[in-house]
Amino acid sequence: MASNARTVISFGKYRAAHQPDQPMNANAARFAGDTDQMAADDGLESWVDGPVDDRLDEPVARPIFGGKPAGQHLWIVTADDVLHAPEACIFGQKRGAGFAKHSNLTGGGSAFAGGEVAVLDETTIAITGSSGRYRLRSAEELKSIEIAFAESGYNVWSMGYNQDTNRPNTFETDIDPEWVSL
Amino acid sequence: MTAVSSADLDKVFGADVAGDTTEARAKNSRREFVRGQTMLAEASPEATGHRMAAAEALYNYGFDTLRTAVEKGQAVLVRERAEPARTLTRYRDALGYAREHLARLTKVPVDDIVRAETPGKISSIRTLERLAIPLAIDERYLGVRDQPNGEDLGVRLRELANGQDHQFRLSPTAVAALAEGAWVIARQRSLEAQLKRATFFVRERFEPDGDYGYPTYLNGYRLAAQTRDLLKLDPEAPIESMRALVSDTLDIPLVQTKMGASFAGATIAHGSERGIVVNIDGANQNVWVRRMTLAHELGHLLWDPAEQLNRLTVDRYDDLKVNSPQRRDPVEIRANAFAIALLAPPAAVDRIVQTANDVASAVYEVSRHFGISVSAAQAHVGNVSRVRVVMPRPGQPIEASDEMRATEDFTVDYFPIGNLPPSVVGRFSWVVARALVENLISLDTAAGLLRTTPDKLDRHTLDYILALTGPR
Repeated sequence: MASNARTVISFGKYRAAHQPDQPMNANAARFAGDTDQMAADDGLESWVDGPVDDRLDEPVARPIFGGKPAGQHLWIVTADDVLHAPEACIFGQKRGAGFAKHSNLTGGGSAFAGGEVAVLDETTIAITGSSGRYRLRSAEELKSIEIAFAESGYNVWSMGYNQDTNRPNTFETDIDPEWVSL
Repeated sequence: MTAVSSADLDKVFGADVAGDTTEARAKNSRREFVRGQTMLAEASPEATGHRMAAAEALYNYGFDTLRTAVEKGQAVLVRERAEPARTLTRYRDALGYAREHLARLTKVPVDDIVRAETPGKISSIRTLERLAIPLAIDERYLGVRDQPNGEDLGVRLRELANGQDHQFRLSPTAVAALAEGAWVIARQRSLEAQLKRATFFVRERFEPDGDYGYPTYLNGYRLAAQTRDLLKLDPEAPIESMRALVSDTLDIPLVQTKMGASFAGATIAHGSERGIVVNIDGANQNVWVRRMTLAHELGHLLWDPAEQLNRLTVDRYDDLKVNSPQRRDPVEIRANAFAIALLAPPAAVDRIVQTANDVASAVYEVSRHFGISVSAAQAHVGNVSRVRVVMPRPGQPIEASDEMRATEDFTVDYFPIGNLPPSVVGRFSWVVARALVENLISLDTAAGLLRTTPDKLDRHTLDYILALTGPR
C-alpha cells in the first residue's frame, strides 16, 4: 500500500499556517452536478508520497506546457486529506460543466485551497494554484503548498504567483514554470 | 450576441448598482479590476497591477472576460507564449531603437527590457506599459490582440531617421516625440469613443482630393475655400483661433511636443486615426508661425489621400514658408497654398491691396488682420495681387496681439500639475479628466495616461483641468 506519511506531515504544516479552510467561493460559476461527490471509481485518489528524498538542482531545460497539459488532475487540500482527480473524465462528462470541478472532489464542502497538477514523470510534477472555487489567499499560501508537495517526495515545477493580479499563474498562459527548491 | 442576465450583472458589477444596460451598470459600479501581463482579475488591496474601473475593463476586454474574472478569480488575456515579447520586439525593431535607447527613453533598465522581450517570462504590467507607450503601442491590448498597421508608423519614422537627405533626417528626439504623439492621438480618440462624444468625423465630410495638378497652388486655394464652405465659416473673415478650429470645431487630436529646432509639425495616421503634432520648439513659439503650421498640417490631414500621407508627413519650418524654394513636392506646395489661403482668403487680401495707400501698408494690414507673419503676408500679397512688394526697412517689429496669443495658447504656459510631458497637456488631458470624472477610467489609469501620480489628481485639480483645456 502506498505511503502518505510525508504528505500528512507536509500538508499538516501548510494547514496549520493557513487556517481556516473556506467554503466554495460564492461567485464561482455553477453547473448541474458540480457538487456531486466523486468516488474512487470515478478517479478520485488521495495524494501519496513520491520517491524523491534528495532535491535536485534546477534542470537546465524548463518544461513548456503549451496550455493545459493533457491528463492534468485537480488537487484539493481538505481538513483531513489531499485529494486529486482527473479534470477530463467520464464523471465530469456526465455533469453540466463537461469536466470535473474542484467541488466534485469535496462534494461541495469546505477546503483550504485547490489547483491543478500534471505528472511529468514518476518523480516530477508541475502544479498551479488555480481554482475558482477554492481560491488561494496569497502568494505566501502558494509557496507553502509548493513546499508541501515537494516535501511529500516530488520534484516540483510551479507556475507561480502573479502579484500584479494577486492571483496564481495558470498553465493556460504558457509561461515558464518555476523550480521549487527546499 | 446573447443578452446578459441580471444575475450576471449583479455578480460582475455589484447587486446594488443601478443601470439599464451593461454599460450603465459598469459606469455606476465602484468595482475595479486589475491587469497583469497575462491575466485580468478582480482588484484586491494586495494586487500591484494596473487597476481599471469596471467600465474601462468592460470597454477594453468585454463582458465575458469580466464574468470569467469574477467567477474564476481571474481571466486569461494573453494565451500565446510569444506575447507580449514578440510585439515589443517588433515595434522596437520597426523604430530602429536599440534596447539601450529604449531604456534611456523609458528609464526601464536594459535587463528588464530583455526580460520583457523574452517569451515565457513575466514582467510587471507597469514596466510593460512604460515600454509600450514610446513604441506607439496601445498598452491596453499589448499581447492581447494585433494592432493593425501599428508597425508601419515605426517603419516610416525609421526611414525618415535614416534618410539619404540630411535636411529631412529626423533626430532621435523628433522620432521619439512623433511616436509618442501617435500614441496620444490614438488614445485620445479611443477615450472620446468611450465618452461617446459626438465628434466631428472629418472623414465623413471631407473627401480626400488627389488633384495636385499645375498650377498646384490654385488647388490649394480651391480646397481652402471649400474648407471654409464645409465648415460654414465666413468666406473672408479672419480665423480667430487655428487651435480652436482644429481641436474644437474639427475635433482633430492636436499634440504639442518638442521636436528640436528644424521641424514645424507633422500629420500622423495611426491605425484608423489621424492627428496633428506641433512642435513647441523653434519658430512655432511665434503665434503667427504656429497658425501657419497648423493650417499647413490641416491641409494635409483634410485633403491628402491616405497614400500621400504615407502614415506620416513631417514638415520643416523652411518648407512652410510661402513660396518656399526648399521643397518642390506638389503635395507640399498645395498644403502651403491651402494654409495661406485658409488664413488669408485671396479675394479679401486683394481687396485690401486695392484699397490701401501703398503695397507695404497693405502687407502690414494683411498681417495684422489675418494673423499671419509679415513675411508670409508679403509673399501672399505678391502672389495674389500680382504686384511687386518692396518693404521699407523694418522698424519696430510687429507682433501678434495678446488676444490672439491667448486664443492660440495650448496651455503650455501653465498647467495645474507640474512636469507633465507637453504631449499630454491640452485636449488629451481634458479627455482623460472627463473620463475619470465619469468613472469610465480609474484613477490609476488617469494618472498613468497623464504621467503623474494618483495623489495629484484631486477633484479641485480635475475641475481646473476641465475648465482650462475643454472645448471653448
